[in-house]
Amino acid sequence: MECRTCCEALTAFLDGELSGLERRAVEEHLAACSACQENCESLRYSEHLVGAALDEMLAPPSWGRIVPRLEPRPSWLDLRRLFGWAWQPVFLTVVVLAVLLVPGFLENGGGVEDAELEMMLSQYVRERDEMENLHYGIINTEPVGWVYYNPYADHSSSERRNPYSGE
Amino acid sequence: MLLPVLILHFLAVLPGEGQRDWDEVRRIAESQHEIVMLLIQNEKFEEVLGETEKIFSMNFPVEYQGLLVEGAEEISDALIHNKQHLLAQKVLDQCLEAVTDADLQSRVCKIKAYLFKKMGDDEEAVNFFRKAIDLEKKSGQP
Amino acid sequence: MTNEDKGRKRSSAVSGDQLDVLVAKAKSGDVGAFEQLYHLYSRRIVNYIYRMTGSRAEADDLTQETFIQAFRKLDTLKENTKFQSWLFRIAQNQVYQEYRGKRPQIDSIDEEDGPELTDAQKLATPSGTPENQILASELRELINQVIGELPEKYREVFVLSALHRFSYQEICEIVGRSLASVKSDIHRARVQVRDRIKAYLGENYGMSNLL
Repeated sequence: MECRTCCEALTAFLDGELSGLERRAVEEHLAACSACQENCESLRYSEHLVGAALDEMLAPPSWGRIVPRLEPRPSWLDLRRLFGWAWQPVFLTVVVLAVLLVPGFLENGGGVEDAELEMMLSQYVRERDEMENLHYGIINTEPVGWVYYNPYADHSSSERRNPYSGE
Repeated sequence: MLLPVLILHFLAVLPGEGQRDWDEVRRIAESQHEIVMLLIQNEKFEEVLGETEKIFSMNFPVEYQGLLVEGAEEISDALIHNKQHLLAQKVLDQCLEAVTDADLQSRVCKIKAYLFKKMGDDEEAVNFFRKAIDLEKKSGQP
Repeated sequence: MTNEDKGRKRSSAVSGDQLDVLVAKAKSGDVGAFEQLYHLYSRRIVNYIYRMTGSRAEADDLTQETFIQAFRKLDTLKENTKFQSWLFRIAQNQVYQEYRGKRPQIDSIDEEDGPELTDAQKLATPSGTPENQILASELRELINQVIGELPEKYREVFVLSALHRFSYQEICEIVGRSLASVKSDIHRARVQVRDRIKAYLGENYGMSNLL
C-alpha cells in the first residue's frame, strides 16, 4: 500500500468502516511508515478533541408544543365528509382557477428574485472555492499528491480489493 | 507513466450493442474514470473528451446516474485545478446529455454556473444558476 | 473490526424490533407511540439542526417542523427500522429550505442548557490549572467555529459522523450520495478540522506538535 492510499483511507480506518482486507493493509502500512503513523495519531487525537467539544447539549422543544400541531392532512374520504355532495364542484373550481392563474403568476416572475439569485450564486461559488482549496490543499500537505476517488468503484463487497491499493 | 494509460486503454471494452448488466457497466466506467484522471494528471488534455464520452454514452440506469454526476464533478474539479475551464465545460455538457433526472441536471447546471463565474462570464453564470434552481423546483427537491 | 468493536458506534436507545413496533403503532395513528419516538430522537435532531444552522431558535422551530412533517408522512416510510435515517433526511430538507446558501452564525450554548458534562468532556476540560481550562474552552469555541465554516456539503457529513456517530452507510441514506463521495468528504472535512486545530495550538500555545 502506498502512502497516498493509506492517507486517504485513514479516516475510514479510524471509524471502523474499512473491510477486513483494507484494514489489515492499512495496519501493515502504519507499522512500517512513521509519517503515516503520525498522521493517523494526529487525526485520532483531533477526533477525540472534537468528540469532547461537541455534545448534544441543546435540549429539544417540549412535546407539549408539538401535540397541538399534529394534524394529519385530510384524506380523500375526509374531504367528502367535510364538503358532502359539494366536494366535487369545489374541487373542480379549485383546479380550473389554478390552471388559469398559475401560468400568469409564473410569467410575472413567481421564481427567485434576481438579487436573491445573485446572492445564492455568490455563496455557492464561495463554497466551491473552499472545497477546491480543501481538496487540493490536502494533496499538497499529505505525503504524496494526486488524491481522488472513483465514484464507480464497487464498495458493496465487504472483502473487496481497495481500488487505490495497487494490489 | 504512459504505460498504465495504454494498458487500461487496451483493456477497456468499448460500449457495444445489446443489453449489458450493471456490474459490467460499472466496471467499464470505473476503468474509464481512471484513464481520464491519469490523462489529466499527465496533462494529456486533448484526449480527455474522447475518453469521457465513453462513460457518458453508456446509458446508465436512472438509479445510478448520480454516479455520473459525481464522476463529472471529480473530473471537472481536476480540470479546473489545471486551468482547463473550457474543457471542464464540455465534460459537464456531456454529463448533462447523459442524465435524465431533474435534480441531477440541476447539480450539473450549478457546477457550470460556477465555471462561468470563474471564466468571468457573469451573465452565463446567472443563467445557468437560474436554470439549476428551476430544475430543483421541478424535481421537488429543496 | 466493526464500528461496535471499536466502541465508536453510538448506543442505540431501542432495538430494531422495538423500533419496528413503535413506528407501526405510530403509523396506525397512535400518538402515544409517536410521542415515544419524539423523546427518543428529538435531542439528536435539534442538535443536528443547530450544527447546520448555528441558531438555537431555528433549531427549535425546525425540529418541531421536522416531527410534524414526519407524523404527516409516516405512511411513506417503507422500512420502519430506517426511521432515524428518514427523520434526519426530513430535518436536512427543512434546513435546506430555510438556509439554502446561508452560512451559519453559531449561537453559543450555555452549559446550564444541557446535561452535565460527560466523562469525555471532563477529560477535555481538565480541572487543573486555569490556563488548561481556558484552553479547553477556547478549543471548544474554535471547533464550533471551524465546523460552522466548513462548506455545507462537508459540514453535513462531518456532523453526522463526528457528533451523531452514524455509520457511513446510514449517512449515505440521509444525504442521498454515494459511499465514495461520503467517505471522501468526511476525510477532507476531518483533515481540515485537524489542520485548523493544529494551527491554532501552534500559533497561540506553541503546541502544534500535540497534533
